[in-house]
Amino acid sequence: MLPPRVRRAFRLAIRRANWTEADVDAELRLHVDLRVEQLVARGWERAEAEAEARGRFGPSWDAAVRQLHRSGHAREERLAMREQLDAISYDVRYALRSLRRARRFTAAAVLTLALGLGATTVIFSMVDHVVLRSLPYADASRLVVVREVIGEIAHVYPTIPANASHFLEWRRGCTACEELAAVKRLSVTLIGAGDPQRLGAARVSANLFALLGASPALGRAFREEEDQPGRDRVVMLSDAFWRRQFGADPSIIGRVITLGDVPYEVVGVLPPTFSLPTGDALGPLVGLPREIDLYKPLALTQREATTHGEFDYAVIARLRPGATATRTRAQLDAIASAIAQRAPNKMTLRSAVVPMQEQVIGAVRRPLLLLLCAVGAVLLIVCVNLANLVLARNAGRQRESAVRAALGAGRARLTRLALAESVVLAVAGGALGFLLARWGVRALVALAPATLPRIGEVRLDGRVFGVAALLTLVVGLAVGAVPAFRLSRVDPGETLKGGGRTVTGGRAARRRRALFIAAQVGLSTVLLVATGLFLTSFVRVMRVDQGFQPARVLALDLALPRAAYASAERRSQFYDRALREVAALPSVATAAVTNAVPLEGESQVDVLSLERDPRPDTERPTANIRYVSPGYFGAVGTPVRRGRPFSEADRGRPVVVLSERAARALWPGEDPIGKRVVPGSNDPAAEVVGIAADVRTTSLEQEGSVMAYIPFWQQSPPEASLLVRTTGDPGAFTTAARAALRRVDPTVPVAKVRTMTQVVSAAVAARRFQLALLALFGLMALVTASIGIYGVISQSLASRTGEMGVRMALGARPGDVHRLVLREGLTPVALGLGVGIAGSLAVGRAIESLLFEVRPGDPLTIAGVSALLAVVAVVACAIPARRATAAGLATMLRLE
Amino acid sequence: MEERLAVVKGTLDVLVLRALAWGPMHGFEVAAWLEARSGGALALDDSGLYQALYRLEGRGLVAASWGLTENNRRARYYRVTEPGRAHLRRETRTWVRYAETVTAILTDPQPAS
Repeated sequence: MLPPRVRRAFRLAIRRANWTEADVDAELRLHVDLRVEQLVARGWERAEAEAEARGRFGPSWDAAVRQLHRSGHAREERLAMREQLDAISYDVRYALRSLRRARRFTAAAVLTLALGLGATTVIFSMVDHVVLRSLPYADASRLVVVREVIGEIAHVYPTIPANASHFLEWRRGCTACEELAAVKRLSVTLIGAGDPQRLGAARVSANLFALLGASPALGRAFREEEDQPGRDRVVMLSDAFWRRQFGADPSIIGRVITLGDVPYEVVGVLPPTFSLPTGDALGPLVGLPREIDLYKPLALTQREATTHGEFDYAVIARLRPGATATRTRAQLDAIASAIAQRAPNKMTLRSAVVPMQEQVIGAVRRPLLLLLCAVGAVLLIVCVNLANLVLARNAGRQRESAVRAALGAGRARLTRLALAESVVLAVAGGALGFLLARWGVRALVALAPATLPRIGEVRLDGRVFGVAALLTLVVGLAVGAVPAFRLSRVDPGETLKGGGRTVTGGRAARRRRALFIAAQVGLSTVLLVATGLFLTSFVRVMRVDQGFQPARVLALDLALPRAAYASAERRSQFYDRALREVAALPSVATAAVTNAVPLEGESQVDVLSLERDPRPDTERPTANIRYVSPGYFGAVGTPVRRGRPFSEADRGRPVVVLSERAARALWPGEDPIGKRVVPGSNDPAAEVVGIAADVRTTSLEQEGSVMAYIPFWQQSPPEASLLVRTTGDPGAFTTAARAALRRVDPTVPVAKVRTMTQVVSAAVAARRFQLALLALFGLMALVTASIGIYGVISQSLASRTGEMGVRMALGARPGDVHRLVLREGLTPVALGLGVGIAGSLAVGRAIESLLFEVRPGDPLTIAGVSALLAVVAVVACAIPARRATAAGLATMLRLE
Repeated sequence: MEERLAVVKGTLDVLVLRALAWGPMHGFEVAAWLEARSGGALALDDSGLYQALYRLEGRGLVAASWGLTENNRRARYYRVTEPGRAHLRRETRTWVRYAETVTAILTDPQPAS
């Protein structure tokens, strides 16, 4: 049985439809009658007059009546809609009036809503653009990244980039793939436009842009025939580089620029919206430059296309419609095993096929979702807070609602009226929040670590706005739901007779208040514990023994032009001169040269072998080979734990300094000094003269890679970094260093000047970013929750002044009243804490992979958060308690 | 008698509003008023008239209520609302300007070159 009110409304609707047609019929009947009378008065015959009267309505009377029935219905619908709109506009205006009268409440409510909704919008826009939306390429769901797996070293490198000859085999043999393209990093020096400039670049298959569905904004893409050595003197520019270097000059197409010592023709410029996933986004060890300024054809040389030992290529494939990653992997595995059988060294070769989106954003999905949950918790706390405030506000409205109900307002109307205020608040808060979010997103993108994939795509757009608007509406309805529900249920008779104080007093109200406090405290606890865990992780990461001393060290990248420095000897001479020039400068403690700087990733990975090593390549340990000058260990501050660093005296013979981990891997338990090792496939057997401390290579959190340090004069790499340990501020030393290098040879470009402190900072940038946001949300939650507790306790006291007065009259001291208030306030706080801690353990397990050296249930963190919340809660309860008792006994009793 | 003029599309609404501006009328009275005022020159379609009235009512330009005629018969009386009056004023101004402009061009003594 439907409630009587619903039935009445339903009947109303049906009646109305019938009424309309009856109305129309009655109207037309009168019209026809009057027309007939008019015509008869003019002398017509009655029958003819009737026919004429109907005829005036058109050729078919029935059709005309039917049409008018329809018009009548349309009219009623439109009138009903106008009525609804009028009612809503009345509700809104009423809500605005009453909100204007309560300025402080409105301001506080709108502000907290704006902060909560704004923060949520900002984080959602980040999650939406980075995780949820498909990559900005055509039909991105069919794009996959193909990497290789060498079973024997999979425990160190689970997947590695592809080998060029394997890539060519895949192209020939993979039928599930529509096309494949490869990308390899490249650094070039731009000559002829001012100082020689080092640019980040990439060698790409000619079909890459077509594969990704990107068309050049100017000019054309590479042609297939340009993808071979000799025909590859063409480049395409990125939009940013074209604007920066050439001022967006449209006549760039066809111009020739000099890279290194080779002229290249610019054939195309890419649109500003195009970007490749950079750095290691396409997989570890790919190492694409952070900014790719130009692209040139891959043009594999004969050597590159046939060598089996180099795995440097990122491969992107577009699958045929209907092909799955699994089927593709099966096909590629078949090709891989065929290759492995033919290979000179024994190895188990497999492939790994990962959807491109997953490869690019997989690692950041969990941290970003954590941030979204954190900001969601803050929004929930804000809503609970507001719901309580709105409830209190509406407590005094019982009477008013009763009168309206008595005057005929239905439940729907009363509910809408009560909801109008919270919806108006929410809309105001949402609008302000959206404005705040515009600024917030810009700040977020500016401060986000460069390693966060797709961060450049984050913006506020239609979809984010839609979600924000929907969220605002839901918040408005949720906050107002309970008070609206109560107000619509008033019994006019009961309420108007008297009473109506039941909303703020009574057991139900006390339970509700306790629930509010517990909910806010519980949510805050979870958020604060998560923040605490991240803070502890961050502190532990920063305290890790990095293996070197980053303070006051400057690093500069050098690239010797190929033509002028074709021989290793000339390169050696350059480095020697450079070191001498720089070391001679004032405030220089030590200067050194190295082919790779600590904490900037792995490079020059090769196998470390014993002399006459019987093991196959894949069973030998892999090491990072570093070509360094003797002063390196002093410059970078890596202690040499055993033996000695090499010196000038070692110029005549091959020597090597190994890292501790390397020594353990080759000769566990033995004294490595004096033993011989073959550091890399291209190096002669060398004598171990020293053991250096392990140095963090890819990140502070991962153990340092196995390292072999070889004197630079043995290889003299054309690209190297200069490290300078200064006695003063390394940043201020930059100009002096550049000048010194220019004195040695002005044609050598100097790039990427940075201090090692900056390098360390960049290594933890992502963790720091996440911590900063979590801490911000934690603070917001704490502040909102404490204001909430304060508000609830104040409310509760306001409704119990009489009771307090009686207690004190009967002999209770202020202290007793305080204790009573604290008990009422702190019981739900304790409950909330308990539930919150349990919740944080569950959440902790979900984020365990993001923590460093701290367990999810870390007692110190939990104790700290509990103490913080307890103190805040006590203060939030004590203030209203003190105010209440200070009012004086007489005042309390008089208020009753 | 000259050929009766078909009502130009869109002007029936404003004519009805003008009629009602004189006071509340029911449907037949509006028809009679328009016939009288146009001296029979306008060809009025009665069903079109009621379509116009319902349309105006739906748009809130007129309001309707049941009443009694002089002969105590139930009739649906229409009266113009404030928004209706404003609409009438605006449309009248526009129509007059348009008519004057068109008339001036069409009756221009200068021959077409």
